[in-house]
Amino acid sequence: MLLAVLVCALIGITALNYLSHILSFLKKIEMTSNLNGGFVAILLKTVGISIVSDIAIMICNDSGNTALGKILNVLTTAVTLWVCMPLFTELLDLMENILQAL
Amino acid sequence: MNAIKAYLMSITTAAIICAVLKTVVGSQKSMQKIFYIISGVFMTVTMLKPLVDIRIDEIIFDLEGVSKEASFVASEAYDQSVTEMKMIIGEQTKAYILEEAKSMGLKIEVMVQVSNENVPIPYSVSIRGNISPYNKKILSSFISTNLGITEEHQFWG
Amino acid sequence: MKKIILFLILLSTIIISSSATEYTAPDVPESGELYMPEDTQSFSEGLLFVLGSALKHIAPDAADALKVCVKILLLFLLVSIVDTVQGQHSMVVHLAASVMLGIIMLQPASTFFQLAFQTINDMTQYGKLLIPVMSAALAAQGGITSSAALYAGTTIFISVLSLVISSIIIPLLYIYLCLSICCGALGDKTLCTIRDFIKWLVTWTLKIILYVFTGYISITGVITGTTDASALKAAKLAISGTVPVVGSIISDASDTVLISAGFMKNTAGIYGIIAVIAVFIGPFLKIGIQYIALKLTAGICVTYGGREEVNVLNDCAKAMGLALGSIGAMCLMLLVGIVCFIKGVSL
Repeated sequence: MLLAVLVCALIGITALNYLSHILSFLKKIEMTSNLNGGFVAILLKTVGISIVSDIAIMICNDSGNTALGKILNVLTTAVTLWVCMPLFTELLDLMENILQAL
Repeated sequence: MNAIKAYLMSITTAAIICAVLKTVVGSQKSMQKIFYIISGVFMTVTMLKPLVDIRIDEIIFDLEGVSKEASFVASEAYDQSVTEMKMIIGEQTKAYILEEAKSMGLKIEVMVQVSNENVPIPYSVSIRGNISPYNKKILSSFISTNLGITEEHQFWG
Repeated sequence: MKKIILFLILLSTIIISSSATEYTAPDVPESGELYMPEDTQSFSEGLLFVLGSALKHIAPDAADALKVCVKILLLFLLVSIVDTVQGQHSMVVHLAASVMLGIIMLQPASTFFQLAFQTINDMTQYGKLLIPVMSAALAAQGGITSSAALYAGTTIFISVLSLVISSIIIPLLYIYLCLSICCGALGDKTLCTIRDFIKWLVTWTLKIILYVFTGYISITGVITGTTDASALKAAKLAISGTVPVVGSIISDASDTVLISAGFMKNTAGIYGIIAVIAVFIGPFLKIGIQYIALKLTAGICVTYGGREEVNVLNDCAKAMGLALGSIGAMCLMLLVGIVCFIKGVSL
């Protein structure tokens, strides 16, 4: 299992190298279209959390700790929603503004 | 218009970013569902935020200016046609008088003034030439009867 | 007496030819010079000449369209071979195929969208020069109310349509193409939905502007034409109430001015119609040929498989169709406007 974790980590670091090009491309798109950088960052954090948690859950399942995998799933969901709170808050503010204007 | 273009670009790029990131999100169904919710909220915020800031009275289109220009062109052209008509009426009236004078054996110069009414009519005439009182009386009567120009508006030089 | 009247009529024609205001249509823009006939007295002959000239110059555009389609066919052949060798549907292959298709199509599509943009500009500029001439001629013919209303309406709608097409629709076509490629590459439903929304938006924007314009022109033409006709009749009655000789002089003068203005208006209008078609026909055929070629190619490529790529190809053809629709809408608007001016006052 330790070997699996090590290999996963090495492959992950290699993948990060390639993903950094995609991230810079997304950054370029974000600047061209005047999107809110904070919200795009939230999306990217969500993707990062999901990838890391995915690997962690699979390692737990592979080593026979299914319950650990499940609780990791719950933790991931909670962390993701916490990270996305600014986005939900912004949406609520917008809804309030629209309703007030009407 | 630039604001509309920027708005459409922002929606399109937001959709492309969400689509690209969806392919990278892990295989866990729960994570995929959460990402769909988050990308949906992100798209909603991107679409609604600029709409809240729109001020419709800032969208100006010069309707009044075009209307004024249209009236100006039409009235100028109409005035031009009335001027032409007055010229034609003046020339034809002059020719009519000259024709009658020629038949009487007279050599005269005629100038006709046309009124500025909606329907322009010849209202005065100036005649120069060597005319005997007798011929003057005949010609004056002719002008009054056929052209409606009274003696008060006939000027003999 | 008859000799006198005949002499006066002959005299008046001589006077008219030397003193009448000239209402001539502006020269055709540079883009339409190639297709413009020398003689525009006959509308049908002029139109046939324009069509004939346009068809004569079509060969290079057909060749370019064919080159693009051959590239696309080769790409589909390559994708189907790779798919067959792999033995399974590969997302990466289809992603790459969609992107390559996009690269092949983006350059010609960009050229055609720029051509559509330029054509819209040329037609708008020509319309802005022609409409005042037609308006002045119609006003000289006695249609003051209708000329002002038609001038205002036609100018506003042409400006709005030109602004909407150049500032919103043309950029939207680029976005549409981009979304089609991404939709084909990634298969994301959100992208496909936004792409379909853009197509719907462009189609309905053009339709609504044309419907509103046609409605305005029809209603305005009837109401103002009736007003002007009543005014003309009232003027004629006033003339007939004057002294008979003066009445006939005024009536002749009025008819001469109206007829000459009407003749010049019709001549300018016919030239204007032919000029607008001359500007429109070249780009229309260029984009039209590419549109038909892409449709045919999509039909052939279906046999190779690759449903996503065929959808991208169909979307590229639709984008061409939308560009065609845009220039067609502008041309139609100008033609309807000119015809309304030619129709003039209803007596």
